[in-house]
Amino acid sequence: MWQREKKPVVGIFGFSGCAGDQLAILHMEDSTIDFFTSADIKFFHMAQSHQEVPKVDIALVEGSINTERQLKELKEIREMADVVVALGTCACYGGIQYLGEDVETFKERMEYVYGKSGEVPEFLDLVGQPRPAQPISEYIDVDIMIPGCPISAENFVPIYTKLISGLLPQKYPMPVCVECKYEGNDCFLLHGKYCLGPVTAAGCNATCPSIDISCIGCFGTYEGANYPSMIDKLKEIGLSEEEVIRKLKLFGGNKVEQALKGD
Amino acid sequence: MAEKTISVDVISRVEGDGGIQVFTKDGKVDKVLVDIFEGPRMIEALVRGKTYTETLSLVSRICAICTVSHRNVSIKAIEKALKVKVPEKVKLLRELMHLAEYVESHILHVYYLALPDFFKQPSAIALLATHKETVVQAVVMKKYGTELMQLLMGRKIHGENPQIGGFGRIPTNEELDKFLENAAEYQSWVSAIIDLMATLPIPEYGVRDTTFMCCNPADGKFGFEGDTILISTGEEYPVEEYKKMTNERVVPHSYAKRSKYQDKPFSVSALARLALIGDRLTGEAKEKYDKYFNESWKSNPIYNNLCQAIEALWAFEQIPILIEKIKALPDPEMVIPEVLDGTATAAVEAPRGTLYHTYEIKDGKIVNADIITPTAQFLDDIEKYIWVAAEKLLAEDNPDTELHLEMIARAYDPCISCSCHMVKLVKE
Repeated sequence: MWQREKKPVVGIFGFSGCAGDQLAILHMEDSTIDFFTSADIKFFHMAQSHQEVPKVDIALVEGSINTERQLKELKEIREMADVVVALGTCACYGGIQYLGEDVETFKERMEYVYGKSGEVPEFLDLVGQPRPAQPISEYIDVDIMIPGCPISAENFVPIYTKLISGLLPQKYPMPVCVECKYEGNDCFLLHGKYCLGPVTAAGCNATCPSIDISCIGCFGTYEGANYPSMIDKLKEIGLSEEEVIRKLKLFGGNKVEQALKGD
Repeated sequence: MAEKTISVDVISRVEGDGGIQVFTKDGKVDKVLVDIFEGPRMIEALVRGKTYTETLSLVSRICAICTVSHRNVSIKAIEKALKVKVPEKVKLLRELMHLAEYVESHILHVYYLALPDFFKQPSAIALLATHKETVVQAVVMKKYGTELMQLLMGRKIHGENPQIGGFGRIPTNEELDKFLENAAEYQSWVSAIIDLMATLPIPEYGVRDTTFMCCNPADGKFGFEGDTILISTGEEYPVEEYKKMTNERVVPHSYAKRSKYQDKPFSVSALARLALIGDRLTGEAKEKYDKYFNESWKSNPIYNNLCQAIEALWAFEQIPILIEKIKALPDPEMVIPEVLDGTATAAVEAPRGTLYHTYEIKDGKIVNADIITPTAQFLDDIEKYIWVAAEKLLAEDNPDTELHLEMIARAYDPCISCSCHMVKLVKE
């Protein structure tokens, strides 16, 4: 880890996504000024200009990798950073734009949105040739994963505070169900309603079940998730296999795809 | 021949990833490109085959800053397609959600992203040294907006509480009461910043006439929803004819598509709304509009920052009125759609301009989707303003050329995640 005589240098980088994880940092409100003053934030496009970065102690990386240009920049970030943190579900697992190729190919989707090749101009190398969305861990070593769509400040701040203090944060290996118990919520599954809480990483404080909305899995997969059992339970409730798989894949990204393939 | 390129590699203090390139030949601007590097996410393709409920979760994640606008317009289009009629309280809560986003988004843009330019500082944090009170006020006001979003949406960003037919959980009157307490004080803060910004010199480089568009609220009031689109040419079309207005096309330097109306770039923005329906504002927001808005604003996009501040003031005035109306109504039950097939287009005014969503639904699942964001509509207009500004800046050999070009792009409050980031000067 870095020398403690000075504040650690932090860079915040964004690739493809909604910028919700960077915005979640700006939305910490009372803690926003502390965030910007407790470390040396050298790079944060969304909030500041005039930035040149040769090296950072901590890189917070948001978004999935969707172009050749982004892939090149990601590798440069890994080179110059001591610690790389994947910030948000897109960076951790690929996010909603990670959809595998089982239903239709990447080319077919590109054509649906941008038009048939030959009829529309080719994208310039300047903006980067398009690639199927992948999490950053597909291409570089990631030291810490902080999932969430978006991340929650309550989950992010303790991890970040440890990191800027030169400590490695502990893991938080719990499913949403544990937080639901803390919140005293009634269980959807016990009432025959679908919920992805048992296979979804905690960290949101069971936000949706607490307002009577089933967990949709936006924090991605929980390490100890038992997918065969989850699938059986949802089928028992009355969902078709196709529906179950579709719902699991909505935010599951590469991890769910690997789990379903039995990797 | 002398050729040079001005390039702003990455536009900062905007949402997303883009750049600006200005190509010159013999001292004249030859080409301007606003490049969008944000990779393609293809949301329209991935909602196909998903249920309408799953679709709400996906499309609201197009953008974090305007998540409410995406959620509101997708709900509006899907409910229109499935002929769902919701009770008055649900409509008013959605309206309140939208106003909360106007506060959050406009305060974020005016104070955090744009204001540093007016004081030649790199960020709002740098402004702490000279304008601490203003920065602290911005934090407090944005917090009000995001906390109101949290109450109504379920969390600050990508809340799942608003659903087709109603809400997962309706906020209690006591929870709503908390947002009555400080609205008047925040009005006075925004009012003061409008007066301050109106006295600051506004750069006059990017000046030209353009076409404006916005939703026309049916009740003749100022607002952010309408079933028709007003155009500054005097025309008005139903939202269903959106393709006539946007004419989307693909360009090789951007993953955001581009739009033109009658072969000309146009603007959608707070400035467009004030230019078209600003006379319908009420209260102190109307007083500010009457005092400051004039013809010169219409030809200079930098004034969009002031228009956003006036709209934030309007939002702070409207929120308490709306809360009182909501409190008087009983909690409704969720309305379940009876029809599962249909096609509809809806539009709302996102903080940065008109946002269209169209869905074709069959058996409760999306068959086709078309989403046109404000940024995809105004990128061509930004290129035109940058062209005009670059010619003047080059002629006077201005040392702050990149800054001025970036300010123009930033004034539009582009949301590049939505449309699919932004300027560095390289003199050869």
